[in-house]
Amino acid sequence: MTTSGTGTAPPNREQVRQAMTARTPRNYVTWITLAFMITSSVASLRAAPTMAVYGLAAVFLYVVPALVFLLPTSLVSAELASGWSGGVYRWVAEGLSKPLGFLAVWCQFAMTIFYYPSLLGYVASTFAYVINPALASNGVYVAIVIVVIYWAGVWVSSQGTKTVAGLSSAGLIIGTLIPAAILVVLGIVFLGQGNQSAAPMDASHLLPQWTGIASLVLIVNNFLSYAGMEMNSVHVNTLRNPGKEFPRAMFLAIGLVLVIFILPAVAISWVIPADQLSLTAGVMQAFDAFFANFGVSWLTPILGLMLIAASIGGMLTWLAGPSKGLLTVAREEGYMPPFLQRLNKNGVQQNILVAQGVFTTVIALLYAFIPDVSSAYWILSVITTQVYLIMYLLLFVAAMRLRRTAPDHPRGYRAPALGVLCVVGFLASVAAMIIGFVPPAQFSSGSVWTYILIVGGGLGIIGLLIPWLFLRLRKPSWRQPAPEVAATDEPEA
Amino acid sequence: MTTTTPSHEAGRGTGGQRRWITYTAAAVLLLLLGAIMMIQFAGHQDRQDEREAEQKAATLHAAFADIGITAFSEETIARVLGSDGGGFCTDPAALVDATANLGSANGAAGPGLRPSVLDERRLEGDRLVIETYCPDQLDEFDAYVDSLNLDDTTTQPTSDPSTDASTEETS
Repeated sequence: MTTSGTGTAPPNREQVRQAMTARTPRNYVTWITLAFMITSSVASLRAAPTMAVYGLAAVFLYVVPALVFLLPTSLVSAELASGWSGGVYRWVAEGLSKPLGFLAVWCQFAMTIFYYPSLLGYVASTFAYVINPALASNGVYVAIVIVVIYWAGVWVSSQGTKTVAGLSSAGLIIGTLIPAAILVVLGIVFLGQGNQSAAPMDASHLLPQWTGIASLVLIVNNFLSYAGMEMNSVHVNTLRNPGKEFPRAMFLAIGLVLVIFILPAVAISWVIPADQLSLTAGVMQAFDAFFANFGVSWLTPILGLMLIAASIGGMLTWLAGPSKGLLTVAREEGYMPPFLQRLNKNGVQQNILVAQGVFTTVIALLYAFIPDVSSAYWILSVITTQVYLIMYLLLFVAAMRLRRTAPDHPRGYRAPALGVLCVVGFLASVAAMIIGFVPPAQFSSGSVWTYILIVGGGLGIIGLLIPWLFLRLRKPSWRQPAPEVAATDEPEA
Repeated sequence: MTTTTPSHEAGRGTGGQRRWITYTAAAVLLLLLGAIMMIQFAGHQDRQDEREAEQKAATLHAAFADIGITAFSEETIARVLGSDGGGFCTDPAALVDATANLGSANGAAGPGLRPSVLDERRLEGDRLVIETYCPDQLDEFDAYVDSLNLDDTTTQPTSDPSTDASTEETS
């Protein structure tokens, strides 16, 4: 397998070193672009019809998780990224230990392997809805879409962060910001025409009624709406002044994520009553019904195209992020064989992406061709979100320790009340993990304990056993450390 | 979106040029895809039997009214579901996916997506749609619903649908 992005001779050691340090002007991205990448990783309109069912209470269902999960993860990440380059591995390694740093970045990376088939399955069904709905259940079609788009994404990612940054930012603007604005404007037009909002918009409907465990599941599961805010911190060195610019990017991303999640959902709830929304077979049909209300059904295929663009843009950021973090630790500590550590001339961990692609392809084919796998795939999504939460637990503990053990380490930004943020974020992550063990309605067979065993077993295998094997099998001779560049090595203004 | 590259930077021309080729190819591909989607979507709508679509929409509207569900207008139902039920009738498996994706997922749009509470009103309404548009798939749908564990983590309709989801009750 060639290590060059273009199929020419492999790059020499000096080229690789230069590519990894990545602080040359030609590789810079602006903080706004990085903010778009962060937003693109986390937010899209995919969830809008789902949450519109809750009317005004959708605001509550997004704001409360934002307070207890979005703000802690974002502000803590902003502080850590403004002081240390390398992303979550470096933070946890510095704050706790290197093996735990590896565990953190592994949890972030492993989660993505199972994320791509469901994301691209959604792309396939969106495209099918417009051109021929019957295709959505055609295994060959779904498999082709997943495999082709995934490998095209790997090819694009191998061209470097700047290419990914450009395309994912464009995906966010075209696929999320513009259609979100269209939905909100149409909603305002609807109200402006004298129509009454379909969902009651008074203060008494601000809170969802407390109904015990169902409400708890609803609220706590929404914490995970903001999962991924920290992921793009691995690209902090592509900013001109990481210490100052990364926090700025993070603040813009927080605002964008909240706007994208909340406003379109509320706008849809103005136009379509909750009962009607719950009677639509999928996200596209919900948007189709929304546009049909205005007599602009022709917008449906355009919106479908936009949603596809947004999903692919988001996928690119996930391809480029966690694998880069994994590469850093693999090179420094020799956790992976040299073959997987090789870079192409753009400094991209191409072989990790290819290895990941092989697994993803196998999973995607199983997902597409075996109905039992497809219908049980949600269990994998639960397991992988549980694995991802391990990373957040480690992140918050590491951040608190770093404040104590390295108080004078230069940071471009210091999060206010970091201790409180970490405790709240940690407890929110624990709550989300506990709720992950509550079987949803889809779990039809077996007892609660069977479900706990399945999710707990998956968590143990993916989140603990596999990284432990990497640690056990590592070899000192596999180490190829690259020169480190501190995030704050440029003077602050 | 990205910063301007200094003209003296070695290798900039090749990298920048390749990047713009990628951007252009992506844009062309997107436009092509958009054209296909517009044409196919319009074609699919044209192929629908208008009279049959209106009849089925009226039947469905009445069925919703009978169980107290606020329904789309008949015109909107006809436009969205056509005469063949659209996404509802492609395959029960697709419907199961749709239920998992829309009716019972949390509010995440990224990697945090996972199943959340299932609104039982949805199942009741779904059944009516299938009964109207593709009754041959009803048995399979019923089997799916029977397999669900409709317990503490689900919700069911209130006596007054107009109060929407904010007044959900646990089953």
